[in-house]
Amino acid sequence: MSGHSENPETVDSKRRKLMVSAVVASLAGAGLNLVELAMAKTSSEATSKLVRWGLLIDTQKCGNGCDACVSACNTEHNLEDLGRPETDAQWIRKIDLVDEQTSHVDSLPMLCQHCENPPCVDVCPTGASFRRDDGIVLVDKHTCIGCRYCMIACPYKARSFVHESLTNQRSWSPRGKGVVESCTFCTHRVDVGRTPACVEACHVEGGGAMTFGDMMNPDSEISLSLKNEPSRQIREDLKLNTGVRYRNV
Amino acid sequence: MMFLTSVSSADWLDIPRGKGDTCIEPAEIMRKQHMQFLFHDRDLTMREGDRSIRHSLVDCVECHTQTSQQQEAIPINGSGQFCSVCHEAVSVKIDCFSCHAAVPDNLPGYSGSMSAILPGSVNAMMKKWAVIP
Repeated sequence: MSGHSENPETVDSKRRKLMVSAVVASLAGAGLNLVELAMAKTSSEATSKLVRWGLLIDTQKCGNGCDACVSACNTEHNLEDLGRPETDAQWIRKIDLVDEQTSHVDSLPMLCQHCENPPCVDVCPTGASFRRDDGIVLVDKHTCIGCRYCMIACPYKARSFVHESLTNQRSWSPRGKGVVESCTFCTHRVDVGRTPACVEACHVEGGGAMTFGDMMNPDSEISLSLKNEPSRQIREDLKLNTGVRYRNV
Repeated sequence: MMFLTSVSSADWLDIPRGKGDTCIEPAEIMRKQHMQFLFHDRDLTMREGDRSIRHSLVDCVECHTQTSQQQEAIPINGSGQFCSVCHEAVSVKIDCFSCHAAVPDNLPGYSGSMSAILPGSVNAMMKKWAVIP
């Protein structure tokens, strides 16, 4: 394993650059340019490996008592409060990170981190946990058998199991008893060129702490922010290359 | 299913009509193959994100849901409703609607997942992020 001493993220970014330059070279003759390619797809196109959706959260702008993103998610997907907090589904939640030395508290939203190397996909015995080409990690609920291995594997406690029969599901967000579910990055919105409900709410009602976009497009706001300003992955020691990044943590 | 396909017509069942004149496929094909259509397009949408699919359960519900006298949508799998008439006749249980919505969406400002509810200024911001081409 001595050949793997290099940081996987570095390897990945090198590979990405290589791929990008190869694509540019191969398409230059066809009169296309990479910016067009890296744009969001139209609703009728399949997801592309040239796109990777990401979310950057600036915890300094994320208000201590604000939970606009959480309520927006609950409304969008009708995650009803059944009065049983231990088992109620939760796709995004606010957590407080406390520095034990200084007692400094960072308040931040925690959700599926849409890892490049997702442990939930590794452990899934049926192939229900999967990663789309554009980096969004999902559960195929028709294939999920409800074993909950993925919930144990996820370092972020991002997944929920539905324990009881549900009603009033949204047409764009089928949910039911006996399967695992988690944040979908609002694929039903992203696939038609919109942003996830939490991001929208954060800008309308919250502190504007969330930036959503294509991390493979060098000109997107999220790419420029990631390039120009320091950011972190939660549990970066696990080398999962998360799609959700945090600033000022 | 064997029973239905062995007779030439299902017209003896009182199936509520959908909106519009015709279904997206001929009725005799739909009767036999609706699940194959749904499975195929489901995989396309979920795995590959293709949202322009022809056979969508959401569209079935949108078109075939009846409205009560109080102008409320009746769940499509309710007794005497579009799905149930045949499925009860042939004793095939439907499992779709324990997860999928059985009535069209009725959220204020929403007419479905494709509708844009963003105020103009936010739309402009979204464009800046290069999310909208």
